[in-house]
Amino acid sequence: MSQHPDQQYFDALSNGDQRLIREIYSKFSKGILHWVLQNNGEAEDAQDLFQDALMAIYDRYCGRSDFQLTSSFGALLMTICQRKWFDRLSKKKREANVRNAESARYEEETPEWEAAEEAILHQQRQECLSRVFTLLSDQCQKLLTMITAGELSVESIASTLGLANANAVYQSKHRCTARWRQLFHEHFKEGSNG
Amino acid sequence: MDNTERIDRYLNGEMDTAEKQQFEQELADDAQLAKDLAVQRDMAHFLQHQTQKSALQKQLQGIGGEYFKIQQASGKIIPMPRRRLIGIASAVAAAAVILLLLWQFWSVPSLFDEFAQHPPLALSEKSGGATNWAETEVAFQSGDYAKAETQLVQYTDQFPNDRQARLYLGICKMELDKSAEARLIFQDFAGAEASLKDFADWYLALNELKSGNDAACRTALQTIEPASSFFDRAQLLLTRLEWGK
Repeated sequence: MSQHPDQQYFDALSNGDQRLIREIYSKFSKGILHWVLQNNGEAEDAQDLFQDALMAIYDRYCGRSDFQLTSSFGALLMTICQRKWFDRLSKKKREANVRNAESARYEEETPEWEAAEEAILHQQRQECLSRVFTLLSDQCQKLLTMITAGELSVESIASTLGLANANAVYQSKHRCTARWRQLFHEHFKEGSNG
Repeated sequence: MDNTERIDRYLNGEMDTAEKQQFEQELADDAQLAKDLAVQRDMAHFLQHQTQKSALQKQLQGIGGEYFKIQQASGKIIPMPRRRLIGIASAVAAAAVILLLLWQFWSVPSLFDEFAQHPPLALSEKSGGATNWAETEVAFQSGDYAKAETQLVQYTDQFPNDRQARLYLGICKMELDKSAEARLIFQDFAGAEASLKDFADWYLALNELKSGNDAACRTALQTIEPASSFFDRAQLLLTRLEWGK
């Protein structure tokens, strides 16, 4: 199956390709800026929103294989920005000020809208995981990070962290993972950024 | 029963066919197990990408500032001048355009700033004697290289086997324009294990770039082999040096 032409932009976010990331800004920033200015926002809001949306795309698509690209990068980016902007405005109770695009919120769901919702949900999950990761003990944080990095042998990790042997490393890993997962379930609320 | 270990084995592809089939059947019947699997998959993603993600965030901040501030500044020039003030407004607009161009010129990040994105410092020891080494990590992460350098000198004296800390000492020296000292540190990894050597070779090249020695930077980049995790970045930097800054 041939690759979607916009796949290059997803890849660029994955590998930090400076040239293509600049191309993303150069092609799409004006459209987003214009839309935000039309909807009661400032250039600073647009910049923040644009970056936040790119990070949502990164969380959903980069390093994952469980998706099929159905919309263009630009359409997805714009939809995520719109969706996030609506949420920010409604948090500030300024919905009345959204002039042009408010009706679009209630239009029938487009593929971009669904993809945007999904990307934002992944981002919220990653943000929650990041927050509750800091609630784990220092030992757990180090252990999980070291095992994932794969730079040290299990024996070296055991000796660095003062654990008896490789078996103790695996047991601790499962304990830390279970605790982290429990904290996630306790703290995660879909649709909340906080 | 806690399923953490089984989920781990499933995600790592460590189950044989029969066990995998049974697990997938359980997933279809047990909503909690499916939820736990989804979370554990996201946890693995978080751990694998946290460094890369923070580097991307930093990169986007740098680039975004250029595009949106330029557009914002342009927007301020556009408003229509009143007829009687056309002459004055034109002069002001011309001056603003010149200022904008100069600003653009000044604000474009240097090639060094584009490529010198340091992974966060993580010291293997956190306390020892009077110093709290976590402060060293904070100093490094926040760009206070002078403080990080002073503390890393003490740290590497105390823990001479922590070779990675020595590399970070080299980065501090590079950032503080002590290029000769930084070069000596990076060159000292010529015989080290591959992951440390690759890291040091890349920083050897960046150190030359920062001191304006483009030829030496090219030479250092050309020694970075395809097996190195810095190879792609090295090739990209070589291309950018060819284009000229």
